[in-house]
Amino acid sequence: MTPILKIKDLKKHYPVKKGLFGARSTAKSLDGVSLEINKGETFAIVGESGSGKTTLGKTLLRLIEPTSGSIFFEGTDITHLGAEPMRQLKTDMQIVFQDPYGSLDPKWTIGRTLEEPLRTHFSLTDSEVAEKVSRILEVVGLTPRHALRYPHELSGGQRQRVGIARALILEPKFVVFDEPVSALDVSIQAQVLTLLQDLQKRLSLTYLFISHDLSVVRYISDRVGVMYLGKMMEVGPTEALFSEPLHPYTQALISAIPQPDPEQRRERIVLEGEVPSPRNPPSGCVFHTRCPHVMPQCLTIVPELQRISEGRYTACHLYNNK
Amino acid sequence: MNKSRWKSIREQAGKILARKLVLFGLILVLLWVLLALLAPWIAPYGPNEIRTEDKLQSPNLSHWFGTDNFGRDILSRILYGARVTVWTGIVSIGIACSVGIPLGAIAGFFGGKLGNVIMRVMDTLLAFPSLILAMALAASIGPGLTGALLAVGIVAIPEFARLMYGQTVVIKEKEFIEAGRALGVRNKAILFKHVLPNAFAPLIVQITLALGSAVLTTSSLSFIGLGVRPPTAEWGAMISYGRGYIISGEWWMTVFPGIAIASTIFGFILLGDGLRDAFDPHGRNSKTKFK
Repeated sequence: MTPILKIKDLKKHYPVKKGLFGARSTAKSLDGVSLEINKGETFAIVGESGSGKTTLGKTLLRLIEPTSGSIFFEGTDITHLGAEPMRQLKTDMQIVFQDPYGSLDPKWTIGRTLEEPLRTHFSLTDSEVAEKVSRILEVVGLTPRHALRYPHELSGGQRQRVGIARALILEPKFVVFDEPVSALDVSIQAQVLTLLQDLQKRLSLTYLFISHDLSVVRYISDRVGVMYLGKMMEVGPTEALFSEPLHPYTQALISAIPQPDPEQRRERIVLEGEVPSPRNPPSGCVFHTRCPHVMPQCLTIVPELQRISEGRYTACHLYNNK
Repeated sequence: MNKSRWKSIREQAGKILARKLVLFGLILVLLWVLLALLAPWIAPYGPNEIRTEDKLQSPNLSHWFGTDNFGRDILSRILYGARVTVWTGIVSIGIACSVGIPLGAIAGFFGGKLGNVIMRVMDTLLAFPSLILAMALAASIGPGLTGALLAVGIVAIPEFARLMYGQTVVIKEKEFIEAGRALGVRNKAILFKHVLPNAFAPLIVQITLALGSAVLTTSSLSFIGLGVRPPTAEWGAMISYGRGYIISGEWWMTVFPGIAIASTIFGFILLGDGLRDAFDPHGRNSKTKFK
């Protein structure tokens, strides 16, 4: 399998000024993330709020400019691509936003919202545009009549479908989903997830799926990356990672998933304390302040993402000599 | 324009007009506009028709609002004066909008050094009391209607720029703007098609209120002789002629133009306040709709 997207040592540091005359420091929202996403797969990023997963998704499309590192899309380095070629590349890379309320212009009808990407990138006749709009509305499970509606007239699930339709109308190859279902009711979540799977099969899409909901991730993804404080802690195939998590942080996350069977209760690993601030991340391994297996070298040496077995990687000193 | 759009406009309009004071304000404003348009047909005399034999008459049946020291009919002069007022309002606020709104939008949207320079210039203009600045501008452009129009317009620019700047800074952080960027929409299109329409409501309120203050500033300039040239009928200028006669008891020369100015401004302020309440983002499409 060939990677459609590859990122190398991607960093995004925000300058932070403490107090009026305080020293300048940086908040490390992304701190050296490397990743390869294969054509046709669904790669999920999980992590708590503030782990940098949304920053990662937006940086891939250069909605946020990376501080350093590089992004390759279909083999081309797009890290320093100029504004115009980058703009044109948006026909291949798209994003669906988390908030279905905020991501649609309240003054625009759904039809106009869906026409915008077409009219921006292609010169089509009015009838071609109208046809594409009604087709995409049907694809995402709405009807052409919805084109005349305003966002406030639709439900959350319908709005999110519009968001998906808007991203897909350009027929992209790669789509970032930034928590696409976390603002929706559970029953609607299932519908939207099924829709996403269906679309992926039909249009042979590659997904980067960002979520904090482990059950959603387990359901939809082929591979998972676990992020903590701007760093990738573990990467692996979904089933393997969920059944046998390697990194202590992943273990804690997985143990927090409620078990449907009360007989099969398993030990819950409860993490102490809060996520440290990315403005002032811990030295060494960023997880050492909360890790149950903390060792002396964790306080000073930053663990690198290392290969454990086929397709499985983790950044933890526990696996150094195995 | 489709059905649901019309529905939402009708609902908005209904909400605005449901307040009696707003309706009253709207009626006042429309009344003056109508009177201004119809002045040549409804005014009983010409605005500059001098009849010395009728001079300084108190209000009576043939001269409802009395006559001035040249025997000119006050009512007719007020009606023709409304034309000057409506004209100065439209032109000066037109100038203010067409300069101030793009400047504020550019400063807010692109920010950086350019934005900083624009907004600091606006702050400088805003630091002067508006009447003093208008006087200085009108005096340097030269007295006359054009000078007054330009002066009133320029004085109102910073308010529009600052309002649009604030709106743009807020709107550009909204997710649908980022969505536009993600779709590859050009900056120009984002600015004109997304930012501007979403800033429309507060702009309308500001335009209404600015029209009121434009009437006041124009009248003030004319009062001190920097506005229209005599003998043009203009409310501020009429008060200026009449002020020497207050002491000798010819009150109608000042009171009626004064009422005209006050009622126009009052109308605009009532209307503006009402629009502000109706457009309040917290009341928008949420309270009334899903009640």
